[in-house]
Amino acid sequence: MAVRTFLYGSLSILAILTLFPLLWVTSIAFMRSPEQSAGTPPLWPRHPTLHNIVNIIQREMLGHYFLNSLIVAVATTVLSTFVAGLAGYALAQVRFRGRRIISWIVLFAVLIPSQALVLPLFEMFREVHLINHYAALILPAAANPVSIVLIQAYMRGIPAEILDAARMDGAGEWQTFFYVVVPMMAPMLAALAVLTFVVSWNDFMWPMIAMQKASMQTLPVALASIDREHYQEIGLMAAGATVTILPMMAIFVASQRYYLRSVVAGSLAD
Amino acid sequence: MKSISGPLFVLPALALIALFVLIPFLGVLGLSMTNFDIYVLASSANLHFIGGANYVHLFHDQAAWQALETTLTVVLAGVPATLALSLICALMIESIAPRWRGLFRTAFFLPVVCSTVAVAISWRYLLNTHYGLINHLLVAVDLPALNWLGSPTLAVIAITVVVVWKGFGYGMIILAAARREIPEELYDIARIEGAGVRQQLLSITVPILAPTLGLLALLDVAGYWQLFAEPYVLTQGGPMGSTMSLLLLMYDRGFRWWRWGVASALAMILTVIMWLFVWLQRHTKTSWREG
Amino acid sequence: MRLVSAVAAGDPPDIAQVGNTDLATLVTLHAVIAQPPVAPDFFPGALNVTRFHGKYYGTPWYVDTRLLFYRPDILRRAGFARPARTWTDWLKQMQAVRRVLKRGQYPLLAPINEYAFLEVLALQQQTPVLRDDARYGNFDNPEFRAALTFYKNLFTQGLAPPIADHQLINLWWQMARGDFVFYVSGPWNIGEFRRLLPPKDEGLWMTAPMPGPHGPGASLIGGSDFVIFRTSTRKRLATAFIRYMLENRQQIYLYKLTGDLPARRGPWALPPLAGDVKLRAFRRQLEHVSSFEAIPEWDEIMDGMRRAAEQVIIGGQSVRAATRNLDRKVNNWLAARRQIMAKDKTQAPIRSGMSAP
Repeated sequence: MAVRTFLYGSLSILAILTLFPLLWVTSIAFMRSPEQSAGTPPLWPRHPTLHNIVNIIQREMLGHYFLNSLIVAVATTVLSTFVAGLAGYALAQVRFRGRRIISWIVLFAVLIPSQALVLPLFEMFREVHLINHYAALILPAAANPVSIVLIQAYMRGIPAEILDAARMDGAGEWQTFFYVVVPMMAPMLAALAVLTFVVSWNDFMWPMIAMQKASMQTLPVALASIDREHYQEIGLMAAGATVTILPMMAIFVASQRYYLRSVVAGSLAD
Repeated sequence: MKSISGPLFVLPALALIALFVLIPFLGVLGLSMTNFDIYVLASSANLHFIGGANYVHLFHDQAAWQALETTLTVVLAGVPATLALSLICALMIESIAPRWRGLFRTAFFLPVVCSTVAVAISWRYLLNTHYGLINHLLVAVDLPALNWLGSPTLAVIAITVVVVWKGFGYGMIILAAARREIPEELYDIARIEGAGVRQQLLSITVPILAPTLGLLALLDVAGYWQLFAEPYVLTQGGPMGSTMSLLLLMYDRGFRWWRWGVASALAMILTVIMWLFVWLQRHTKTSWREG
Repeated sequence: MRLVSAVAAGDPPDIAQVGNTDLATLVTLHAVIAQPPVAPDFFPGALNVTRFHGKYYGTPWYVDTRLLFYRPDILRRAGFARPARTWTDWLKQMQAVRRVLKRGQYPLLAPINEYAFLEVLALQQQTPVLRDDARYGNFDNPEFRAALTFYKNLFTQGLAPPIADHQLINLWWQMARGDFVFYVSGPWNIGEFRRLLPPKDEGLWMTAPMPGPHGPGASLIGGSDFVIFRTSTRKRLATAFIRYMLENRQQIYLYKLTGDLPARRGPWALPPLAGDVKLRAFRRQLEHVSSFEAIPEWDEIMDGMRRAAEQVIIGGQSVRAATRNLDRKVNNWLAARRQIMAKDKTQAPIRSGMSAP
């Protein structure tokens, strides 16, 4: 009994501590200026107001950046998942010349920290005049060697006989892929899609460099640059943080099942 | 089954990886051996190959050493702390009734999915010297208020705390899953043989989870090694450059001052040290198995 | 910096508005053309920063300078009718002000991650901080050391807290509460104070020109200049556009929209600028502005200066050691510039035609 009390007690305390920074900033976002600014603010707004939220969305056009983020994240997710699905399947289940070398190349690519590549990437996109275009964010993010490795590992676990049977029935490789392979790896693809979406949504350094034009910025980049200008307005910035965080939390809570599975599958596949 | 579909299926991925990973990587390597700067931008006639001069320059650059030290500190303090917290939470969650597990998992995992920029803004206010709740609580229990983001030592600690807070939920999920894979019979036998909770932990749970912990350590190292957004928002690298990470320094040199040669050399150093970590992890893993 | 990359990528616009350092960079890149002043009544300091080897490469559009924002009521309570004009008197004022403040309140706010205030102090000296056509650092001179010492004392004597600007929660509320009595800042804060404080608090803050080492001090000149790109095919239209944008009506409209101050004296004699008491100090200060040589490396050097000051304030380094270190670093940063200048004599005057105040 004492053990159970201890377990639930310490877990609850840890959970509250973990959630506190998120809840606190949300609470401040709904406070009026005097409450926010006069010493340490109360935990809860006494006279809740939407003033800050309206301000950050209207005056700072957060909705616009939200849309940019959405376009980039959706396109990245679709492209990256499709490309990785094809490659992961082929590397695991289709025999062809050069397969081993390509697997090694993919593994090598996993080992290169993507953020170390921003200088030449900037130069390349500048050469082809794609700085300030969505493509500058979508294409590099779609080159996702980690996803390929994970799908490859997942597909190796599927008996080759099932695929051979499909091919024997006269299905072409594309048909086999779409009608047999994709349904088989659907849970894995869904999981990776959610993972890719979140990573893309929260990406910061490269989007900040590639989107020099303010109107093309993604949400975190816009939030950081609003922050550089308005850090002294706690209510406004708290509202900005809240508006940025809430959609991701909602998506996570809704897609938890896939998401957590992908995290687990991703690491245990090694 | 041999057909052209294999190469065809791999082609898009391979093209993307070649274009956006391999070629840029060679680009970083090449740039790091040139004098690329604002004058080269003005006229490419000014571009020269200068061999290892940028690396020599960095070797004598106190800011580069400080960035290395800061980043290493965050990794060496942050990774063990993250793993410990992940493990403790995972084991506790797996010991409670299944219907409550989801709730706690969600709570611990939420920071992982939130934008670093947004949560860093929240932490900056929490840690504020005069206003922040953390100092308010310290003062309430008669402890001195601390200048969290204004003192070089405390600022590094604060950044590490934020990084750990943001990251531990990930390992918790994975360790909880791995813990579920351990057959309960092992614990039954141990109990019959009279092993206490601590003995069960040390002789069953930890050894079986060791490979997972090793993998998590590697993932965390790779992630923390690329520290950027936290100091960018929380401290802008200050005070006194104490929270300037390697990537933040690279960003400053490259995109604020247009010193691409030196910035690329920093990127190469960052990459090579990360490889060293990977090699180290593989190495210790095999020696464990042999031992 | 976006412009710099646009130039390098070969597709710059016809016209742009740029700051001083960017202007120097664009002149270095031979990207913009010289244009004679379109009006006779620019503030001389503003026009001067656009001059490189004897020609004007930019048309000042709006100007920016730094001066004192302060709390007149608290100053009066400490026994002073107006802010001091010299450093020594200012120090005395701040010490007196501190006695009427509560714990946790400070006479001065000078964020240690901003360099403008220290740049102003350095600018008020006769000796420039770079020497030999800005080929070498010259921070280790007695006058800059005096400026840095004055700056350091503000923190070591507890007159200003050693905090970064992002450690503030709400600057305007904190000013209104009396957390800070003096704050060195720019014209945009007039609008911010009015936007963020209730109208009844209008009397709680005022502006005054910068004090100097021996009397009313100079301040820096910033702002934005119009440039016309060499590649433009519509240079006549561009000039006409710039001429239009500098007419009184447009300059005043810009002020009403954004709070940016007109670069010409003309609009200052008209409402609403003429009637605003908070703007008077800016009008006076703008006649007393100056700047260092504009070179592409300027922001990097100023950032280095700020870091050196941090080493003194927080790190406890001596002023002498800090300025020597800084010169070594600056010499390093200017190595490429020296090489270019040695190689190409025609490129040599990559500097604006600034003279000492």
